[in-house]
Amino acid sequence: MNRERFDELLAGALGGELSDADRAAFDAHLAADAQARAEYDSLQAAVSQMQSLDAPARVNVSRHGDRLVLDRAAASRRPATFSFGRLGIAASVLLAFLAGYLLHVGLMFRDRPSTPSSINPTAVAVAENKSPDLRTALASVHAEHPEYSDFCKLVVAMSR
Amino acid sequence: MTPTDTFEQHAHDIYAWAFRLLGRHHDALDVVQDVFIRWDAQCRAEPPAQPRGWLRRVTLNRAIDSFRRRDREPTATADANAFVLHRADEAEQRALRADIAAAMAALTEAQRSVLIAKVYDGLTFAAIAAEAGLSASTVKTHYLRAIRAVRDRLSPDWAERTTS
Repeated sequence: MNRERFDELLAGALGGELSDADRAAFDAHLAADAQARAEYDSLQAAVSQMQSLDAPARVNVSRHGDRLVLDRAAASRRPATFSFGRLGIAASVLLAFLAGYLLHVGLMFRDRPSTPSSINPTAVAVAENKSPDLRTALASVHAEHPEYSDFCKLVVAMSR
Repeated sequence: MTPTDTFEQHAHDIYAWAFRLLGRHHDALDVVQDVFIRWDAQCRAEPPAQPRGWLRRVTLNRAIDSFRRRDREPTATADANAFVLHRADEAEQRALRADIAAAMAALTEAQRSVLIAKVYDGLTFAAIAAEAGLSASTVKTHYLRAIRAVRDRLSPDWAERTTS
């Protein structure tokens, strides 16, 4: 590839205006020519550095009679930002744990028959509001159905 | 549309072009004022066929002049008893902006205008060519030369590495 053709493709590549065919030819040349590759990378870095400069704040342009007034007052107001403080992070972790735990509990019940016949009659009685002794009922469920153990503990904790 | 109407349409962009080079609000406003005076005078004599291209070119010229003056003269408002502290990122931005402005000061008017139009305004080569009355090929040549000048300023060891 001659210099003139390379420069034409180089400008197109840096300007983001290469056709698919030209892009393929350019990439093939870069793959074969390390110096060309280095030049492209250095120029792309220069463009990126230029674009990294802070953009100017918006100025409002208004007319007062035949005069123009440029006003940066409204534009200087920084947009509201939201950032996680430590408390927010802790709350997020707690919520994630709770969501995961509830998912675990849900999955535990998913494959189990949902009919009351698989549950200890005492627990059924509690569910039907026939026995006041929730803890006894739950302890019984725990003994006979240890897979529900975590759920029982949660309910006991909530009942305290 | 009056010259003031046209200027009003482009006022924010004029400010933005100046600010990109100078980095200071009041310096950019001074440039806008300067350009407005020149725009008014130009429109009375012969209104430019491509207002936006004319305004960009003149804005960059005035901004470069302002940059060169600032480089030579001590800050008029400097207070010997006051010193403004800048964060590291602010200092880096100022240094980068100064390097880019210095690189652009060495470019021709056309190269400078093409560079800003491409990098900051996002115009296509065809649009820049139409605005400036140049061929797309010439615009690409200006663009490449301008980027190389900026690269050489930001990476002065580049030339040494490639020739060694």
